[in-house]
Amino acid sequence: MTTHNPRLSMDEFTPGVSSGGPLETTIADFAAAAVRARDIDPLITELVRLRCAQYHDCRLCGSFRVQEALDAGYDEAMHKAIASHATSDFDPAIKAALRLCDAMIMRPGDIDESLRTEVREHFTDAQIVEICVDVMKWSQQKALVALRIEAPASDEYLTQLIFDEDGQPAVGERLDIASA
Amino acid sequence: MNLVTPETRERLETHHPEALREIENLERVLDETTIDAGLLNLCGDYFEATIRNKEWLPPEELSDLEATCLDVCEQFTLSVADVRDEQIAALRLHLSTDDVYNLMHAIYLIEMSKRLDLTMERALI
Repeated sequence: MTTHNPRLSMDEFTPGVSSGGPLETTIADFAAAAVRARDIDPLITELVRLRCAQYHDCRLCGSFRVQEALDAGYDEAMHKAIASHATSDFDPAIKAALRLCDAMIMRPGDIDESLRTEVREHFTDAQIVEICVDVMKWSQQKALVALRIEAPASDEYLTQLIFDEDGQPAVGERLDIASA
Repeated sequence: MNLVTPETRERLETHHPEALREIENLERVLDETTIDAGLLNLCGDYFEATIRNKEWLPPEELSDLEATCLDVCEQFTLSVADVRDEQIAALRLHLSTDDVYNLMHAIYLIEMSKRLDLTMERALI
Protein backbone atom coordinates (compact mmCIF):
# COMPACT_ATOMS: atom_id res chain seq x y z
CA MET A 1 0.00 0.00 0.00
CA THR A 2 1.16 3.55 -0.75
CA THR A 3 0.50 5.85 2.18
CA HIS A 4 2.05 8.94 3.72
CA ASN A 5 2.55 7.18 7.05
CA PRO A 6 6.17 7.10 8.24
CA ARG A 7 7.73 3.72 7.43
CA LEU A 8 10.47 4.08 10.02
CA SER A 9 10.16 5.39 13.53
CA MET A 10 12.63 8.21 14.04
CA ASP A 11 12.78 7.23 17.72
CA GLU A 12 14.63 4.11 16.62
CA PHE A 13 17.47 6.00 14.91
CA THR A 14 20.86 5.81 16.57
CA PRO A 15 22.17 9.39 16.55
CA GLY A 16 25.46 9.59 14.68
CA VAL A 17 24.82 6.30 12.86
CA SER A 18 21.84 7.00 10.63
CA SER A 19 20.37 10.39 11.45
CA GLY A 20 23.38 12.70 11.78
CA GLY A 21 25.67 9.86 10.72
CA PRO A 22 28.56 10.05 8.23
CA LEU A 23 26.42 9.35 5.16
CA GLU A 24 23.76 11.92 6.00
CA THR A 25 26.27 14.60 6.95
CA THR A 26 28.38 14.04 3.82
CA ILE A 27 25.24 14.27 1.67
CA ALA A 28 24.54 17.57 3.46
CA ASP A 29 28.08 18.74 2.56
CA PHE A 30 27.45 17.83 -1.09
CA ALA A 31 24.13 19.72 -0.94
CA ALA A 32 25.83 22.80 0.49
CA ALA A 33 28.45 22.71 -2.28
CA ALA A 34 25.65 22.56 -4.86
CA VAL A 35 23.89 25.54 -3.29
CA ARG A 36 27.13 27.59 -3.12
CA ALA A 37 27.41 27.51 -6.93
CA ARG A 38 25.38 30.53 -7.94
CA ASP A 39 25.89 30.99 -11.65
CA ILE A 40 22.24 30.26 -12.31
CA ASP A 41 19.48 32.81 -11.70
CA PRO A 42 17.90 32.04 -8.28
CA LEU A 43 14.46 32.07 -9.85
CA ILE A 44 15.45 29.28 -12.25
CA THR A 45 17.07 27.35 -9.40
CA GLU A 46 13.86 27.61 -7.36
CA LEU A 47 11.67 26.44 -10.24
CA VAL A 48 13.98 23.46 -10.80
CA ARG A 49 13.88 22.71 -7.06
CA LEU A 50 10.09 22.83 -7.03
CA ARG A 51 9.88 20.66 -10.16
CA CYS A 52 11.94 17.99 -8.37
CA ALA A 53 9.72 18.33 -5.28
CA GLN A 54 6.62 17.96 -7.41
CA TYR A 55 7.84 14.96 -9.40
CA HIS A 56 9.19 13.12 -6.36
CA ASP A 57 6.13 14.12 -4.27
CA CYS A 58 8.37 15.54 -1.56
CA ARG A 59 6.00 17.26 0.86
CA LEU A 60 8.87 18.78 2.84
CA CYS A 61 10.50 20.45 -0.19
CA GLY A 62 7.11 21.58 -1.47
CA SER A 63 6.35 23.34 1.79
CA PHE A 64 9.29 25.74 1.45
CA ARG A 65 9.98 28.74 -0.73
CA VAL A 66 13.57 29.98 -1.01
CA GLN A 67 13.85 33.62 0.00
CA GLU A 68 16.40 34.47 -2.69
CA ALA A 69 13.87 33.39 -5.33
CA LEU A 70 11.09 35.41 -3.72
CA ASP A 71 13.42 38.42 -3.90
CA ALA A 72 14.04 37.63 -7.58
CA GLY A 73 10.33 37.75 -8.41
CA TYR A 74 9.04 34.23 -7.75
CA ASP A 75 5.29 34.05 -7.27
CA GLU A 76 2.85 31.18 -6.74
CA ALA A 77 1.39 31.46 -10.25
CA MET A 78 4.78 30.13 -11.38
CA HIS A 79 4.39 27.11 -9.12
CA LYS A 80 1.11 26.33 -10.83
CA ALA A 81 2.76 26.54 -14.25
CA ILE A 82 5.71 24.24 -13.48
CA ALA A 83 3.93 20.98 -14.29
CA SER A 84 2.99 22.23 -17.76
CA HIS A 85 6.11 24.29 -18.32
CA ALA A 86 6.39 23.38 -22.00
CA THR A 87 3.18 25.26 -22.78
CA SER A 88 3.62 27.96 -20.13
CA ASP A 89 4.62 31.57 -20.70
CA PHE A 90 7.89 31.11 -18.80
CA ASP A 91 10.98 32.69 -20.34
CA PRO A 92 12.73 30.39 -22.83
CA ALA A 93 15.71 29.98 -20.44
CA ILE A 94 13.39 28.75 -17.66
CA LYS A 95 11.70 26.34 -20.07
CA ALA A 96 15.07 24.98 -21.18
CA ALA A 97 16.20 24.44 -17.58
CA LEU A 98 12.94 22.68 -16.66
CA ARG A 99 13.13 20.50 -19.76
CA LEU A 100 16.67 19.45 -18.80
CA CYS A 101 15.50 18.81 -15.23
CA ASP A 102 12.63 16.64 -16.46
CA ALA A 103 14.94 14.64 -18.70
CA MET A 104 17.35 13.99 -15.84
CA ILE A 105 14.71 12.89 -13.33
CA MET A 106 12.66 10.91 -15.88
CA ARG A 107 14.53 9.63 -18.93
CA PRO A 108 18.01 11.06 -19.41
CA GLY A 109 18.55 8.67 -22.33
CA ASP A 110 15.97 10.69 -24.29
CA ILE A 111 18.11 13.84 -24.34
CA ASP A 112 18.45 14.59 -28.04
CA GLU A 113 19.80 17.25 -30.36
CA SER A 114 16.73 19.43 -29.90
CA LEU A 115 17.10 19.59 -26.10
CA ARG A 116 20.88 19.98 -26.39
CA THR A 117 20.46 22.95 -28.72
CA GLU A 118 17.75 24.53 -26.56
CA VAL A 119 19.79 24.22 -23.38
CA ARG A 120 23.02 25.44 -24.96
CA GLU A 121 21.25 28.46 -26.40
CA HIS A 122 20.69 29.74 -22.87
CA PHE A 123 23.41 28.24 -20.71
CA THR A 124 27.18 27.76 -20.75
CA ASP A 125 28.70 24.33 -20.11
CA ALA A 126 29.44 25.38 -16.52
CA GLN A 127 25.82 26.42 -16.00
CA ILE A 128 24.53 23.14 -17.47
CA VAL A 129 26.75 21.25 -15.03
CA GLU A 130 25.43 23.44 -12.21
CA ILE A 131 21.81 22.66 -13.15
CA CYS A 132 22.57 18.91 -13.28
CA VAL A 133 24.28 18.99 -9.87
CA ASP A 134 21.34 21.02 -8.54
CA VAL A 135 18.88 18.39 -9.79
CA MET A 136 20.90 15.72 -7.99
CA LYS A 137 20.87 17.86 -4.84
CA TRP A 138 17.15 18.69 -5.09
CA SER A 139 16.42 14.97 -5.45
CA GLN A 140 18.15 14.23 -2.15
CA GLN A 141 14.84 13.83 -0.34
CA LYS A 142 13.97 10.80 -2.49
CA ALA A 143 15.41 8.73 0.35
CA LEU A 144 13.03 10.35 2.82
CA VAL A 145 10.06 10.10 0.43
CA ALA A 146 10.67 6.34 0.05
CA LEU A 147 10.49 6.11 3.83
CA ARG A 148 7.70 8.71 4.06
CA ILE A 149 9.53 10.69 6.67
CA GLU A 150 9.43 13.93 4.64
CA ALA A 151 6.56 15.60 6.48
CA PRO A 152 6.01 19.23 5.44
CA ALA A 153 7.32 22.05 7.62
CA SER A 154 3.66 22.97 8.07
CA ASP A 155 0.44 21.48 6.75
CA GLU A 156 -1.19 24.88 6.76
CA TYR A 157 1.19 27.40 5.31
CA LEU A 158 4.37 27.84 3.29
CA THR A 159 7.64 28.46 5.08
CA GLN A 160 10.64 30.55 4.15
CA LEU A 161 13.90 28.69 3.43
CA ILE A 162 17.14 30.61 3.65
CA PHE A 163 20.60 29.50 2.56
CA ASP A 164 23.63 31.24 4.03
CA GLU A 165 26.86 31.95 2.15
CA ASP A 166 28.16 28.47 3.01
CA GLY A 167 25.09 26.89 1.45
CA GLN A 168 23.68 25.82 4.80
CA PRO A 169 19.88 25.85 5.03
CA ALA A 170 17.86 27.52 7.77
CA VAL A 171 14.11 27.36 8.19
CA GLY A 172 12.73 30.87 8.32
CA GLU A 173 9.35 32.36 9.04
CA ARG A 174 5.83 31.60 7.94
CA LEU A 175 5.15 33.14 4.55
CA ASP A 176 1.96 35.03 3.96
CA ILE A 177 1.41 33.66 0.50
CA ALA A 178 -1.14 31.05 -0.46
CA SER A 179 0.15 27.78 -1.89
CA ALA A 180 -0.92 27.36 -5.54
CA MET B 1 32.71 2.55 -4.87
CA ASN B 2 32.81 4.86 -7.87
CA LEU B 3 29.66 6.93 -8.03
CA VAL B 4 30.41 8.66 -11.33
CA THR B 5 32.24 7.86 -14.57
CA PRO B 6 35.69 9.27 -15.39
CA GLU B 7 34.00 11.57 -17.96
CA THR B 8 31.68 13.01 -15.31
CA ARG B 9 34.63 13.40 -12.96
CA GLU B 10 36.47 15.38 -15.64
CA ARG B 11 33.48 17.63 -16.34
CA LEU B 12 32.95 18.30 -12.64
CA GLU B 13 36.66 18.98 -12.15
CA THR B 14 36.45 21.62 -14.89
CA HIS B 15 33.11 23.21 -14.05
CA HIS B 16 32.13 22.33 -10.48
CA PRO B 17 35.22 21.15 -8.55
CA GLU B 18 33.55 21.62 -5.16
CA ALA B 19 30.80 19.17 -6.11
CA LEU B 20 33.42 16.67 -7.28
CA ARG B 21 35.28 16.88 -3.94
CA GLU B 22 32.04 16.13 -2.12
CA ILE B 23 31.16 13.25 -4.44
CA GLU B 24 34.62 11.79 -3.75
CA ASN B 25 33.95 12.16 -0.02
CA LEU B 26 30.65 10.36 -0.51
CA GLU B 27 32.44 7.51 -2.31
CA ARG B 28 34.76 7.12 0.69
CA VAL B 29 31.84 7.17 3.14
CA LEU B 30 29.98 4.54 1.11
CA ASP B 31 33.09 2.33 1.21
CA GLU B 32 33.08 2.56 5.00
CA THR B 33 29.36 2.08 5.57
CA THR B 34 28.02 -1.03 7.27
CA ILE B 35 25.87 -1.79 4.22
CA ASP B 36 27.20 -4.75 2.27
CA ALA B 37 29.31 -3.60 -0.69
CA GLY B 38 27.94 -6.43 -2.86
CA LEU B 39 24.41 -5.19 -2.27
CA LEU B 40 25.34 -1.63 -3.26
CA ASN B 41 27.13 -2.88 -6.39
CA LEU B 42 24.04 -4.88 -7.33
CA CYS B 43 21.92 -1.71 -7.02
CA GLY B 44 24.51 0.12 -9.12
CA ASP B 45 24.42 -2.52 -11.88
CA TYR B 46 20.62 -2.40 -11.91
CA PHE B 47 20.43 1.41 -12.13
CA GLU B 48 23.21 1.60 -14.73
CA ALA B 49 21.27 -0.71 -17.05
CA THR B 50 17.78 0.62 -16.35
CA ILE B 51 18.60 4.29 -16.71
CA ARG B 52 20.41 3.56 -19.99
CA ASN B 53 17.46 1.46 -21.24
CA LYS B 54 19.64 -1.65 -21.45
CA GLU B 55 18.46 -5.16 -20.84
CA TRP B 56 19.64 -6.46 -17.48
CA LEU B 57 19.25 -9.83 -15.88
CA PRO B 58 19.89 -10.19 -12.17
CA PRO B 59 22.34 -12.86 -11.01
CA GLU B 60 20.70 -16.30 -10.95
CA GLU B 61 20.84 -16.76 -7.22
CA LEU B 62 19.68 -13.80 -5.24
CA SER B 63 19.35 -13.73 -1.47
CA ASP B 64 16.01 -12.58 -0.02
CA LEU B 65 17.62 -9.28 0.91
CA GLU B 66 19.03 -8.75 -2.59
CA ALA B 67 15.68 -9.54 -4.22
CA THR B 68 13.85 -7.24 -1.81
CA CYS B 69 16.37 -4.47 -2.38
CA LEU B 70 16.08 -4.75 -6.17
CA ASP B 71 12.30 -4.57 -5.86
CA VAL B 72 12.67 -1.30 -3.92
CA CYS B 73 15.24 0.01 -6.46
CA GLU B 74 12.82 -0.65 -9.31
CA GLN B 75 10.08 1.42 -7.70
CA PHE B 76 12.57 4.05 -6.49
CA THR B 77 13.72 4.80 -10.02
CA LEU B 78 10.28 4.53 -11.67
CA SER B 79 8.43 6.71 -9.16
CA VAL B 80 9.67 7.08 -5.61
CA ALA B 81 6.27 8.38 -4.53
CA ASP B 82 4.85 4.94 -5.27
CA VAL B 83 7.20 2.93 -3.05
CA ARG B 84 4.87 0.82 -0.93
CA ASP B 85 4.71 0.32 2.82
CA GLU B 86 5.22 -3.42 2.41
CA GLN B 87 8.40 -2.96 0.35
CA ILE B 88 10.06 -1.07 3.20
CA ALA B 89 8.58 -3.53 5.72
CA ALA B 90 10.23 -6.34 3.73
CA LEU B 91 13.61 -4.60 3.96
CA ARG B 92 13.15 -4.26 7.70
CA LEU B 93 12.95 -8.03 8.03
CA HIS B 94 16.64 -8.10 7.07
CA LEU B 95 18.07 -4.78 8.22
CA SER B 96 18.05 -2.60 11.32
CA THR B 97 16.27 0.77 11.25
CA ASP B 98 19.64 2.52 10.95
CA ASP B 99 20.68 0.32 8.04
CA VAL B 100 17.38 0.83 6.20
CA TYR B 101 17.82 4.59 6.58
CA ASN B 102 21.40 4.47 5.32
CA LEU B 103 20.55 2.05 2.51
CA MET B 104 17.87 4.40 1.15
CA HIS B 105 20.38 7.27 1.17
CA ALA B 106 22.94 5.07 -0.60
CA ILE B 107 20.32 4.11 -3.19
CA TYR B 108 19.56 7.80 -3.75
CA LEU B 109 23.25 8.55 -4.33
CA ILE B 110 23.82 5.64 -6.67
CA GLU B 111 20.67 6.24 -8.70
CA MET B 112 21.07 10.00 -9.08
CA SER B 113 24.78 9.61 -9.92
CA LYS B 114 23.86 7.38 -12.84
CA ARG B 115 21.33 10.00 -13.95
CA LEU B 116 23.99 12.71 -13.59
CA ASP B 117 26.41 10.68 -15.75
CA LEU B 118 23.95 10.12 -18.57
CA THR B 119 22.47 13.63 -18.52
CA MET B 120 25.87 15.31 -18.75
CA GLU B 121 27.02 12.79 -21.34
CA ARG B 122 24.01 13.60 -23.57
CA ALA B 123 23.69 17.33 -22.86
CA LEU B 124 27.37 18.21 -23.16
CA ILE B 125 28.49 16.35 -26.28
